[in-house]
Amino acid sequence: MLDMAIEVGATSDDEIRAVILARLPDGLRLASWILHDPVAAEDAVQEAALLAWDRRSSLRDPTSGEAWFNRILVNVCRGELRRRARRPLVRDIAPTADGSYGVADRDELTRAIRSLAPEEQLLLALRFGRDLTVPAIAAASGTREGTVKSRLHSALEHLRAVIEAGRRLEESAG
Amino acid sequence: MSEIGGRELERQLREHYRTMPIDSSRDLIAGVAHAVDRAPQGRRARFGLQGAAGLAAATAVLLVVGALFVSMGGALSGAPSRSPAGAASACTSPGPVSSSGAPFTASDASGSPCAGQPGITRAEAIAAVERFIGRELVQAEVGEPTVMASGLWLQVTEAGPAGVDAWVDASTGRVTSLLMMPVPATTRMALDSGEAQAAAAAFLTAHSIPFDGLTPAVTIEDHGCCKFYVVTWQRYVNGATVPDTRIVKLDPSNGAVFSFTDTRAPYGPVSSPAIGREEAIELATVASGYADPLLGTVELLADGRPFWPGRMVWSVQFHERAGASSGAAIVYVDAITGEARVVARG
Repeated sequence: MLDMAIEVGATSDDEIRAVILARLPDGLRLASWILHDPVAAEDAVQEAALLAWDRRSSLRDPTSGEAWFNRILVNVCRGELRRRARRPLVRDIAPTADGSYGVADRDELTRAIRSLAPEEQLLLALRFGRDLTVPAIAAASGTREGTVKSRLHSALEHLRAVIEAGRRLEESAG
Repeated sequence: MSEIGGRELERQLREHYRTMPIDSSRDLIAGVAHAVDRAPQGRRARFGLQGAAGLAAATAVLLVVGALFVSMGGALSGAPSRSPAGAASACTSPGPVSSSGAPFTASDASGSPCAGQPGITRAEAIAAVERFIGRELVQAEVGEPTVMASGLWLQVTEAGPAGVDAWVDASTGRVTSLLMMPVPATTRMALDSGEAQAAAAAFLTAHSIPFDGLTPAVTIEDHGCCKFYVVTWQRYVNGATVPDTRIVKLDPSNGAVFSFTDTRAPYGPVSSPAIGREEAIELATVASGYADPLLGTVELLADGRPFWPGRMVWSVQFHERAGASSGAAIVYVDAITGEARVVARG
């Protein structure tokens, strides 16, 4: 869990500002798990933080800031995954010119995860990255618990199928 | 081919997420803090756009602002006070140094007045942007003057898929930030990094923007769908980053500039750090509580905003070693006194 040494100010805006800033390191981790792309993750966290600031009146209780911010971040990530799904997937097989950047999809599991539906990618990150329970995933993603369970099940099935298909392809090629 | 069992797949997934490298969040925190403070209220109304379009435009501009501070290493980042007193005190910062090495005055450090009304009209702000980009703006809107620690600023927005978002210094009419739509959507790298830097330098020169004495760096920003060259010129004083930066982003397929930011803000005298890098790492290691952490980014910041404003700090990032829990921490070490403090732990 996060432990941010940010002093909370006297006014509510200062308090919410501190809540948002305190959520950023953890948010970056979550967004990276969901998006598998450090640049996109950083963009998502920034966008979520600014959205959260715009919507700060919706945070009634600063102690619930984590769940409040995570809901906003998950929605931003969901939007990014859906945008990605609508455009051709670009994969960098070779290192980029400076050798330092690149979409992090070079291993088998990453490629397989990124081939899943946006909602499945999101749920896997919340379940196995964030280690949330089904009720917590439901709260964070705005989805019913039953739906979370069934989608998680199908996500794992799809993932297994994609990995095994990839291995069969490699075996037949090599 | 071996089939994957359910438990094994779940184990692999947990390991996959646990070992995923996560970028530093310190710059992100600083960038967001600045962006929040830069546009603390009524952002959407100021853009004069409705709903998603307005939000998208606001986000685009603020992401550019955030990216600037990420690129800057956080020297200027942080939380300029939103109070009038904070703005006034920033205007009277002692002994700032301009990019040419000459002292800034209170007005030309930011190029802005310390309080009150903008020195230019809205029409003049639009005209400044038009001169900068070399064409007339269509359906341009100018927001309310935005107060920041370093002065007053006007945002000029041109709607549409080929529109622009610009920030204009409300005192001098200088265009300090510009985003020209559409953002390139290509991964084709027709230029090498040297050519990108030359193209960016030509852009600055053509607009009479000084960058002598600043240290250049060229990076590639990879969004999967598209890549950009980012050419940054940063001033360092006594090894510390200070708020004197130019950032130019280019289309890698043709070298066209689509984003530009010019940041020059006042800062006090930058003394040499009394605490060296290695000593700072030792102090930070103790403060982190980690037994044998992996060392991440180590930077000397002229100003420790938002956590330690006005103090020169070493920012030291740690990760716990693989095999332990996947923790990370950012520790600030006062570069003069050696005081260490964990500012973030995740």
